Amino acid sequence: MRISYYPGCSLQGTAIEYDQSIKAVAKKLGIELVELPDWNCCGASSAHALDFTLAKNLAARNLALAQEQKLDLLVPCAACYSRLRAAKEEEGAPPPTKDDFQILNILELFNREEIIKKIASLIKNPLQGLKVVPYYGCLLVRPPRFTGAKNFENPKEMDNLLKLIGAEVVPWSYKTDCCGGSLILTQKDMVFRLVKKIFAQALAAGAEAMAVACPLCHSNLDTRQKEIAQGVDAAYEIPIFYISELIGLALGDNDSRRWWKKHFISPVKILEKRAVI
Amino acid sequence: MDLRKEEQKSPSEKIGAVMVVGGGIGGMQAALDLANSGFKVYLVDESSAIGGKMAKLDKTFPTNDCSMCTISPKLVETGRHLNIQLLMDTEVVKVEGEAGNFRVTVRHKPRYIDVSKCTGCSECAQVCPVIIPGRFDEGLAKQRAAYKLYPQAVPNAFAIAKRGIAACRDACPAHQRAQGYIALIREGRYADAMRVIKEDNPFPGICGRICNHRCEDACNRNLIDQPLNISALKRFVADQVYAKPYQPPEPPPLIHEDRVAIIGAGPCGLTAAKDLRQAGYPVTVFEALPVAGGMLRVGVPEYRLPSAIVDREVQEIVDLGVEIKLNTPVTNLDEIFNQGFKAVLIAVGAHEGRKLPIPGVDLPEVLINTQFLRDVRLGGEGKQRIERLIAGRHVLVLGGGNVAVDCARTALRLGAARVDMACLESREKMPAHPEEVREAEEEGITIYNSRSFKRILENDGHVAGVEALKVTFMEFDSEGRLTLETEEKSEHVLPAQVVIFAIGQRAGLGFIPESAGVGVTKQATIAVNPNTYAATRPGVFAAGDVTTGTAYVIEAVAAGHKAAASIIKYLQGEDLEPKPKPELPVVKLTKEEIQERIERGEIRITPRVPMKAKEVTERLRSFAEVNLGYTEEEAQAEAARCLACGICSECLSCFYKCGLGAIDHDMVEKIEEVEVGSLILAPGFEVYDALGSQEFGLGRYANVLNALQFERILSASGPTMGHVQRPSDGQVPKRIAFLQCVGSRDKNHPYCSAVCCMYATKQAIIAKEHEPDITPVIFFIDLRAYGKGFDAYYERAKREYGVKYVRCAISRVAEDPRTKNLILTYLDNSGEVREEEFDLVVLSVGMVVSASTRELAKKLGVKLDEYGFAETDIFNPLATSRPGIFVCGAFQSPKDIPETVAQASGAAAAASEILAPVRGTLVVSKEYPPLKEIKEEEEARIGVFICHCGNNIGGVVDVPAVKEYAAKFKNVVFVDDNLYTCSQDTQEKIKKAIAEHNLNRVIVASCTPRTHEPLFQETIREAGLNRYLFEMANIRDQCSWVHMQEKEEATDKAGALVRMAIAHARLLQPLKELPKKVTKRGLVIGGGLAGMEAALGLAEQGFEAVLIEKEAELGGNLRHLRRTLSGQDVAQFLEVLQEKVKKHPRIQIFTNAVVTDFSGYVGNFKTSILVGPRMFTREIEHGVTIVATGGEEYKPKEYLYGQDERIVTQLELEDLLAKDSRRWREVKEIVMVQCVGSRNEERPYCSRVCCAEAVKNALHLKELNPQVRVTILYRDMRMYGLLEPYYKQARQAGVHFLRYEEERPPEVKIQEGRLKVSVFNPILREELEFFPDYVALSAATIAADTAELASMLKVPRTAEGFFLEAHMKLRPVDFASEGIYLCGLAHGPKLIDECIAQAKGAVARACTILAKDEILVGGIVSVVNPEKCAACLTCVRVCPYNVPVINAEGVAEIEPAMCHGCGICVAECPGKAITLQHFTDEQILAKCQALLERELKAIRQVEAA
Repeated sequence: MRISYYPGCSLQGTAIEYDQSIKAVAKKLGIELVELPDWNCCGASSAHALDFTLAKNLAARNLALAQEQKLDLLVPCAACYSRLRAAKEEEGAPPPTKDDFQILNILELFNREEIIKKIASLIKNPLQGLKVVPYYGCLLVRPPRFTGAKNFENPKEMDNLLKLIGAEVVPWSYKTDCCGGSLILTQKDMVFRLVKKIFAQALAAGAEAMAVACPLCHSNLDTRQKEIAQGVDAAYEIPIFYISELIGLALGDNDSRRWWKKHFISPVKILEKRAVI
Repeated sequence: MDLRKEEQKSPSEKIGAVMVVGGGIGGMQAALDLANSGFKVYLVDESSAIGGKMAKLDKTFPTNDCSMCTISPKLVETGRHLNIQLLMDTEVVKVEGEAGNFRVTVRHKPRYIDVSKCTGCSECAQVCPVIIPGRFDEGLAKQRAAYKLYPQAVPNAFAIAKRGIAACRDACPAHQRAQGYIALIREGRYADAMRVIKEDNPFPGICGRICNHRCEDACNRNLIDQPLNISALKRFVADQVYAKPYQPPEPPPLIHEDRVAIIGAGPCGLTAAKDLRQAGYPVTVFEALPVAGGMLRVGVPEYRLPSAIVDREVQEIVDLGVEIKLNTPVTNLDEIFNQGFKAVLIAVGAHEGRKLPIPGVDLPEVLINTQFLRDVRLGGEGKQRIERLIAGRHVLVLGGGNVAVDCARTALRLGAARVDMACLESREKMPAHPEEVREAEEEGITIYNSRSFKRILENDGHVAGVEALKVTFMEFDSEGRLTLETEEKSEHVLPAQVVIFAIGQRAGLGFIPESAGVGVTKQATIAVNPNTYAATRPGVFAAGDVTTGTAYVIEAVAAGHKAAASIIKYLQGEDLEPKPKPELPVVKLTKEEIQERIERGEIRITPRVPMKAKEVTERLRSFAEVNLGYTEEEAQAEAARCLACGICSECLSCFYKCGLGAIDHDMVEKIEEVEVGSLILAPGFEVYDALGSQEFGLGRYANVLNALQFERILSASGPTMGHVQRPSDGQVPKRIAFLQCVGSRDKNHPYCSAVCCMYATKQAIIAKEHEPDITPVIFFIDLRAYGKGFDAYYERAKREYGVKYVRCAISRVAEDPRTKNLILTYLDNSGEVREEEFDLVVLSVGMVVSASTRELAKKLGVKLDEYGFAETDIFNPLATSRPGIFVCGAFQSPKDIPETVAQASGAAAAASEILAPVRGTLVVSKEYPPLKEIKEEEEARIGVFICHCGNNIGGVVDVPAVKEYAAKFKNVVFVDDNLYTCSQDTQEKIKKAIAEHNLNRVIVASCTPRTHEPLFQETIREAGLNRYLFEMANIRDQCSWVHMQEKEEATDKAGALVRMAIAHARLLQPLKELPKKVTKRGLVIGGGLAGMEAALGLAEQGFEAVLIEKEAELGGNLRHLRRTLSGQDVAQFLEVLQEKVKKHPRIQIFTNAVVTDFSGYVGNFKTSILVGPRMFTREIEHGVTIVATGGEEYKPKEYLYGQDERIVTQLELEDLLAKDSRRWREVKEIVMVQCVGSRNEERPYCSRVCCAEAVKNALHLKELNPQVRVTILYRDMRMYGLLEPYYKQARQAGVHFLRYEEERPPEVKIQEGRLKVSVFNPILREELEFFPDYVALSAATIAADTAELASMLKVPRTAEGFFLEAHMKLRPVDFASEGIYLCGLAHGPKLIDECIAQAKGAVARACTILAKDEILVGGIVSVVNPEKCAACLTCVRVCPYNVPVINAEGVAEIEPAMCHGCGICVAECPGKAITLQHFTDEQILAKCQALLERELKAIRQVEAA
């Protein structure tokens, strides 16, 4: 399978382990990722908050590039995904043509039936006993008129993948709560308040790790745990995984350890406890 | 609707029957009104019982009446009505024709239980093993596949739910009802399970071991985890049963002489033999081998199938009377016929193995599968020879099927040094069962796949191996020809010292010479017709492997059954081809459905229970069975995994149990055409499926319920027997949150569901009544308590019950994973964000039109509005877009019960109006034999009939003992007990007994008089006895049901109840019912909209109407209205209506008229009126009275009304807007104030119409001048039902809605000539000021002054001066006094369409009287003994119907036509002057004495001592 790949800026910087793990997993699954040539900023964070036209045009250029590829487009960053989907689905967009391409986030891609089957057949190291809460955040599913998500209140795609690789999916009510996103730059308190709640609920549900599919969620949840734990009884130490990292681990990728070296919270202890490394 | 066209039609073409679709409260009311006014009614419902949603409710608001108690009499009346035909389990397919003359095609779905035979005894459900989520309890409890919808269901008959054929059954060639016997295993009923298996398959023990169980491959459980281990379960049943000593079956009688010969005692032949013998034919089986069982006995190795099992199952067939001749090969077919057999079945199987035509096959160590296995199985010399050949050698089996595996594993057990297998097929394509292959490999057998065999190598005359080639491609075509490709130069040697060919078997057909006339195919099978198994020679049949080539046991069984059926047909001279039978669909579950069922908690993921097997090392030592079978625990656990796909499994337990022959599993769908003159659609609603609003977590969180589920929890007959418990842990919840507007007032449902605010309030109150510690909190947007008595109810909920109301729409529900409590975030009443935990969340789900109702509308060509409700016109609210088809209830728009009932009556009026000329043409009335005269002094001759009710009573109460006991009493001349006293044949028995024994009193001791007394009364009346000479003792509910565990005491109590009944019966007297003539004229008081509609309705129904109006002109409030919310012209409508009323030949109008006197009773009223201006009096005789006295707009004392012409009421504003549209273009700002004079202490009710009126005027203003600022100051915007979209429209048009609080109402001032309105805004928490050009006051609607009229009519009014109907829920247009009805604003504030519907409703109710020529009065009524009466007025005061009067003689008089027989006056009368017939003091005392017989005796003895 060939597929266009739009990494966006995060996956070249703060979330480079997301990029690496996606590429490693894709290779194992026989997916050829073709990076979109000459891609540009998706327009998230600043542009879409300040200049509607600019935001739209930035996204539109990427879409035009993707159109030429005649391949479905994988956009792993939830913010990029949201911007590109919005630009594509927004009113006034031309109706889809026959050779129209689909914009996919990582969950949508991995939930394709053939990929599910492929993953199932390649599992070498099932994550037996690892209790994970799937955390989707907001942009992967919302707003549904852009994302087309049917179960936007209770999405199941990440749950499916986690179950598939043998992890124990811990049910909880806060799958799609907001982590505060880029407000971490301007309104720290707000983000802390939101993230604190997410941690409290994940722990209450009995989770020992969290899975995400968004660089911003990862950053807000992984890098701030010490600060957030101040004033709270509990010391948070919850490893945050990109879903691709967990799949890579389950598929027995030797590079896994390299990916989470970049995490603030090391997952080694819990992974050893559950004997999956 | 265009009626003119209809009128041209001659009456004879019209049909005096109406079809009502939907058996809920609306459908029932419409049906009863129609049937009671001279029309035949077909009441259609898709369900198995009538009752609809109301039957599910616990209580009803605002009176907290028990829903079931109020609906139950209606159910019974509808069910028993002579002119209502219930069409249950039925749907409408199409409607042809036109108003007055429709042809309706209906489809009756099979119920599988004959309603006319079923007595509702419940025995079928007691033996039904299939458990499914209960429909009536909204999935909260379980039910059986044989079910009655609810205990009080009408018709009182069970039904069987089927969804289709379970996939397992479909996949099985013999159609084994696996789901059925699995359910029976789960119930621990192994003998029944065995019966189910054996009905389809005589070899349970065999198939439980060696079947290739295609059922498991098809099992829907494959989609979840693993299929059920069906074969293991089957084997388990056999193991259980065979563990008990063998009881030979009783041979069935031989009823035919034609003898049948069967050649071959294999599974096919034996199955056919069994079937034929059971059908009464003499059968002889010829078997060549020394043992019976065919391949089962000589082909399958012992370690897989012990001989003992085969022998046991064969023996059972022999013991049925089948003769098996062993060692008797048939050598010539003709001989069989010469011996006198009339038919022959050839079932010789395929016992001849084959070798490949390759070099080396004749070497001594080359063996053939069948012979090899047979020799081993038969033991002796043959076995020893083989053992010698194999022991210590290297064996290679050629072949990849099950037989090959059998050969390999057998060789291993015979002591081979090593065993390998080699086959053509790749691993994936190997025909052997993977399980078998796995076990073989476990035992150390190597399998060489994809090999073709070139030759067998020889060394010194012995086998030295097999030269093989690698196969690159292989395929058999449909005719069995092989295409094979091999790799070049891939020759290699597979080492072997012994080779066994296991490449297939075929039949040996040597005994059939060509001259026999039996055709044989190229594949050496017998040619047969695949449907009938008939061979080419008449009388010869063939089945099993001999016709198909090698197949599985189960196929042989299936073929045996079919062949036997064909042979029977042949012998009886019938056509052999089986008749095509409509089959149910095969149930294939989808992933989505399974996901949903997992989410609802109906399915849990549980892998299958493994069956223990012998360890490999242990296995190889012997031929002992490898698999060990299930223990009882394991089997039940495995059985519990079954999904019950087909719902009913057709296990036939019910069929064998039912003593009435009511069960018929072969029922099929039937199409019928019904002719009717009109139709009424009352299909109701379904509750919004809140799974679609995932934010609230229904299905995801255990303690989130929808309102209907909570209603069932509150209900005493519900899953928790009325105990308030939360599902997760069964604890009593302390805090319950009710979330309003779930599935209402949202993007997908832009309407208000009209009832949820009130039902949530009711549920909160009832929950609190059940558990006083509960704190209910209702989260709402607007509290819409707009109906009669609703606001008072709401206030009571707050003040008396402490129900908390929080004005906040909840956006999501989260769950605390530890406690399963639910967390809500909301803005509290002070505007603070709060997070709070609740133990239970109830979603107040809205009403939606179901998919099946939409489909119905489509089929009927009835237009729907954008939300799915039937499109109607405000001035004609009950007519659909198709003339002659009418609508009522929630399908017209969301509404509550009373409005549904009023509309239902209204629809009945509308539907019958067009059929008035054919009234009475299709109804039947019953002719009775003359009454036997019973003289007062005549000795009582009592017959007592005691009921077993199947096992219901008889299982607990010793019925024969009660019978014996009853016979001892004086006057009892006949006693009998019956299995089902209510069944049709028992009615005949009772009549016969009355005649033969000259009975003059009858007692039935059975169930409840509530449902059954009318039936038995009818029976004795048919036998010529007065129906009051009947008495009943309820020994079911009061004995066997409540004292199930105390059998002796229950029997004793039953005796006491019968004793009491006898004491009462001795004193029973016949009561007379006298006919009184009906004056066929109606009086309508009030000439407004409701009055005019009522008068016109009566007149159109063919009756005379007298309309009296106190003002000079007809029209009432309608004269002040200009247009409707949707923009229609009211004045024009009024003009047309007035014209129609004035010109109608059967309507007489008196304006300027008032009622001065009123007397009489139903059917015969007399009213005096004074008519101005000339003040003459008139006396009117009429049979019915309709009160439509109306109401008016309140003239406010508040907000400076009357002090400034810029302060106007809404009606005045409406007038101004219509008159002078130009003026409003200049106006800049208008403020409207809601609830002026309503919802306050003086008038604690909601005036209902003012919100809509304000929105209407606001929209009109915006239309005239889009720049104008309109602000509406409100408390709750009560835009209920389909008004809600107008509220949205107004917001979109820029109308401002600002809420004010009751405690801080707005203030209106005049400041320097300017109007100033100030109001505190509770959201901003500050005072806002407006300087409008006009202030419009939404003034209350108040009742007309009717104090005097009410006292003349002796009908009650509410504290607010509106008339009070007989029952808030179910009799919304009736007064308690019969023959008097009400409608319109006289009843309470309401909108135009609601007035019209209610007026029509009153007409329908009136017609039930006017349609009769006479009415019967008397029976159970109170009678006054004038000599004892002191005229103390007690009875006059206590009678709830205002019946007793002090007459001219100065004593109380009770008009029998008006008396309801409630007995209150009897109890209250201090002088004991009143007697209630049938319940006289003497009778009651006699009962009490009988009850206390022993105690009284004891007292007397003490006294005597």
